[in-house]
Amino acid sequence: MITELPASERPGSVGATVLTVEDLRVSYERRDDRLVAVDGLSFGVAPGEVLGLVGESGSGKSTAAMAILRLVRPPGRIERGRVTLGGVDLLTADPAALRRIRWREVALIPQGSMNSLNPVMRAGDQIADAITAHEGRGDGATVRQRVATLLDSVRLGADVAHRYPHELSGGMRQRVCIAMATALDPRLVIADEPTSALDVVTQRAVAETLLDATHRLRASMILIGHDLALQAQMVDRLAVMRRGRLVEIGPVRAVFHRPVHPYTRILLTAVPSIRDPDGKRRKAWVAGQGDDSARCFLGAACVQDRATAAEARPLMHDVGEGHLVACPIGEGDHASLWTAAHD
Amino acid sequence: MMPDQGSHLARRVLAVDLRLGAGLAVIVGLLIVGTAGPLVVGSAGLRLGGAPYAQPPTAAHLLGTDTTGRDVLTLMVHGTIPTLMIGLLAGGVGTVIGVVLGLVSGYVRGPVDTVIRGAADVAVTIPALAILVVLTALLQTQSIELMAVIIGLLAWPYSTRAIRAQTLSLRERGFVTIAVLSGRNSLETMFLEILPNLLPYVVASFVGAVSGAIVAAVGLQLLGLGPITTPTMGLTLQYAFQYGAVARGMWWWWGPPTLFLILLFGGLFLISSALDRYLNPRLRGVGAS
Repeated sequence: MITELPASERPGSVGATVLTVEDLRVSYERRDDRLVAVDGLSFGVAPGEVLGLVGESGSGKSTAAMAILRLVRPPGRIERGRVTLGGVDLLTADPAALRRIRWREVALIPQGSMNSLNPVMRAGDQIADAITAHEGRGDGATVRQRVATLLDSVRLGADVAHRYPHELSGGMRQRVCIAMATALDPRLVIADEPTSALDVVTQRAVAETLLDATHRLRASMILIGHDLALQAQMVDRLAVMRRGRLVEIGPVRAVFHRPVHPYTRILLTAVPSIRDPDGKRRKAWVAGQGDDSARCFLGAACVQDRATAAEARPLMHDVGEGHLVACPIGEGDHASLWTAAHD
Repeated sequence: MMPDQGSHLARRVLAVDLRLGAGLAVIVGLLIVGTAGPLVVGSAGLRLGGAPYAQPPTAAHLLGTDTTGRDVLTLMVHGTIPTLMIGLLAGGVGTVIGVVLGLVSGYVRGPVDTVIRGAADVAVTIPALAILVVLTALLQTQSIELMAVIIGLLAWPYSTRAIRAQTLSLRERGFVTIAVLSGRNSLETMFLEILPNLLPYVVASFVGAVSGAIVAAVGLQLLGLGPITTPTMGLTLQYAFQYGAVARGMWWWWGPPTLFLILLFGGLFLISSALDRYLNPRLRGVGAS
């Protein structure tokens, strides 16, 4: 069962989508060479779904998010691809359409959102600005009332509106960012490591607020991060990126319980497990990494060395339940190989 | 926070406040002399031959007279505001140009940045005084405003570089991304979102530009290239040197304008060093928490 269709158009995968990303390729031009940061990325996000996007630093997660919002700036360049949101291709939309869609349809909680508020503006004014920039200067009292409601929705008091960012704690600042992102009832929220740099307790509280807010709006969310434990609790589907490519995507339980791609496995074994307190399994993995990571884990028959793997364009193979895995080899029924190898 | 750390911080903040206060006091003092002084001493002393020539200080002429019989004290109080004016105007022009170019260069980047940054880097290496000498000689400026504007037009490279560097760092911050996403255009983003964050740097670079402009103006006047219709410290110094005040021991002639300039530069230095301290990220980081 081999296919090159994007995940969204596949049977057994998500049906109708809010966002469809097809064959997205983004590169950074340097003096005389080019770094491909996102390479042939395709996925879809269903209505109300939370999609986790994980991968190591530099794997292209944030670049992909920026490209979806068409915020990639030189020396970065979107080479090709389609990003469809509400029937409009964001990558070819004219400036007016883009302006209508951004923030109203798709909002962003930027990376390091603790430091994403303007230090010289009061929190309430910043939220109000996001509203009035799109809806025009309405009645001041109405806008103030909406700001208070939004702050309440992220469990912050109305007095926070009058405070400057440096008067708020990290968690509070992140809540303000969530309030800003949900101010215009977007269909999709892209959250780029929204809870990094917080302690575990605050992280959890902020994550719950974020989920609450998006669920209430019935909005979808792309949650970028590398905290797998947090992702496991928050997302419906998990996508794993490596070196700009999607290596595995599927329902979060399937990916956690039956990881297929060697990279996903390494990533997951890096998480300390309560069943493996001494980290024996993890150590074994790290020790054997040289051999194991060079080979596809779809089965014994699937042995391909690293050099060939890097050349080949990986196709996505379905291993069941919309669980897709990239493999450097372009042929062979890997779903059955997987089953055979794990019987 | 440990108590000794706290008191250490308090001492540093106090030291900054003292500097800023002292610097401001000096400048305000000079401003008062410049505005109230002419009312007190009148302008009779400005007339050529209005008093005995080249007299050391006496009760009638507290700072003596020059070789044309003008009262030095009157020259001083009347020259204060024009001297400060040159500095403020030139510093203002230079800072405005520098801020605009720096913001555009840092925010827009690409070829625009290459051109502006390249021009600033080159301009920094050319001695402004050399260009000023040529320009003022060509234009034969007889108004201090024109001279100030010419000086200001050449004072942009330093503030351009400082503002550009800060803009480069700020444009990567989340609030800029959010501003762009929520539909602000580039001008709004630069001037409404980024510029307010740069105000301390703008003020610091303005203070620096004012000192630089006064140095340039005095330098030009010492070379005899300034306007001679308005009394300024530079003009008084020019005459003093031209007529051999130092060799003739007429300390009351060259001394007061020199002292005035020392006070002015001292005051500006105190202000800019206090601002420097305030802008020090380490100190600011502790102070903000």
